[in-house]
Amino acid sequence: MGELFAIAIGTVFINNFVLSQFLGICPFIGVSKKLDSVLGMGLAVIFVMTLSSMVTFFIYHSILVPFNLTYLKIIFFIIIIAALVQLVEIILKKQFPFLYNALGIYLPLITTNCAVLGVALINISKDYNFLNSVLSGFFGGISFLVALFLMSTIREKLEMANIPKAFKGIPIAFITAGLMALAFTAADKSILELFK
Amino acid sequence: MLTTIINILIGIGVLTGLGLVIGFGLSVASKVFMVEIDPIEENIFNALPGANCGACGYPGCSGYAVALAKDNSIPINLCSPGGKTTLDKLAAILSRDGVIGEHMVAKVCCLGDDAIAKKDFIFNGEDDCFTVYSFYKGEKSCKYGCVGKGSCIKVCPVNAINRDPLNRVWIDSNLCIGCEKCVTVCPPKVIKMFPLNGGHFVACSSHDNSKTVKENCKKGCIGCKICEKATDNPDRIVVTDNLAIINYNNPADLHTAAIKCPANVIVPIKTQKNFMIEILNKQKPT
Repeated sequence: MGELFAIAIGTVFINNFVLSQFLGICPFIGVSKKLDSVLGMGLAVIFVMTLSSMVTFFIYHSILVPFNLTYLKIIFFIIIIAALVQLVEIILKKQFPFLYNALGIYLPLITTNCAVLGVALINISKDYNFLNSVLSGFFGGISFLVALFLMSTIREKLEMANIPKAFKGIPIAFITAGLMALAFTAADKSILELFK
Repeated sequence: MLTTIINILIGIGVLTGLGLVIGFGLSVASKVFMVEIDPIEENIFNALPGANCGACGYPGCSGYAVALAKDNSIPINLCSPGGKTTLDKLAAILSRDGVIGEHMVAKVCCLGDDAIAKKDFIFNGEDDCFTVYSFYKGEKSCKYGCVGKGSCIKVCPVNAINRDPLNRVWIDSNLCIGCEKCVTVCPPKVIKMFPLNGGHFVACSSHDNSKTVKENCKKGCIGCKICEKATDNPDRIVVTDNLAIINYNNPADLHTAAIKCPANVIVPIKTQKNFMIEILNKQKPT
């Protein structure tokens, strides 16, 4: 139980995918303009990350390790995840049109996203077992949602602020992201001590 | 050496196999889970103008197409950008009759610009109507008038809204498709809809008394009732609460009233462009 808790706190706050590991910056800047689109994007990322950590776990341990092909893991994972998301999209469109309308436009955006690939590679480098991999994927998605939510609320306020013309839009968003990342460095392993 | 080659071949083989399996699997899946698109829906979508303006009240043209294909009770005359041509096409596809509504265009009911409208203060912040309007309902002393920061320009899908150098905002009737986006976005609600063939409109929204209007703006309706008398019909223009309101169901001539208006705020709807250029040229020398 303590280990699962450590994974949850660790991936959401200490090793936040966007603000500490700088993965998935593209959708982080692209989709954080409006609060409305954040929830759809965040849920899509949680969904894909959880699913891809499950699948890549099996692929890695049942195909790559026995055949001594671990050096091919990056290209393998890219193809598997992209195909998987494509398949999920096709199935959602047919069986759950409602869910497709909510997540559909965001799914192709994250097929080859580095945060999704990152979670698969991190799971392997940390030698997680199946349950821990799935949890790490799930909380990885949550960490993305948290960062996206914080960023979008700030950016909606920034729209109203009087910013020099050269900094309007993306530049001020990057500066904000940098400051947020600085703030997140305050969260280190000492947080976990508090809960012990 | 041999083992290296074998390793390379294994890598190539595995990846090719993976590609084949996934490609084949996906193509099978797309066949199995194919979603059939209603041909009627597709036809309707092609008949719509594709402006995605939302004037019909549905999310974009595809939303309206889906709704029309599903429900027979939805009126087919909701698309104001498409007008008569779209209505005819839709009537042919769905074999239903529909009467075209009058072509409405949006108009800014205010002529006050930086030169003729008095200002209480100058706002040195962002060029946004909502921001400015949140401070004492805008810079102008007249609290009914256009804020002049052009938030409507940003939402207009066809770029029909212009802003003069003196921050007077006006809408070109030839370009306006009547989607009413600017009407909803305008904070003082100074943009209103008028029938394109209605002749003239009153380009002022102030309900202040004549003294205040004269102090605040050189182009304001002071409620003098000259226009009421200039039309033959007593019902055509009615001054209520210090503001002249035109009744568009009455066909009486408006031209005399427009000429006689002392403040010159009765403006032609169709040819507002010429009118605006004229007053802009008049102001230039001063």
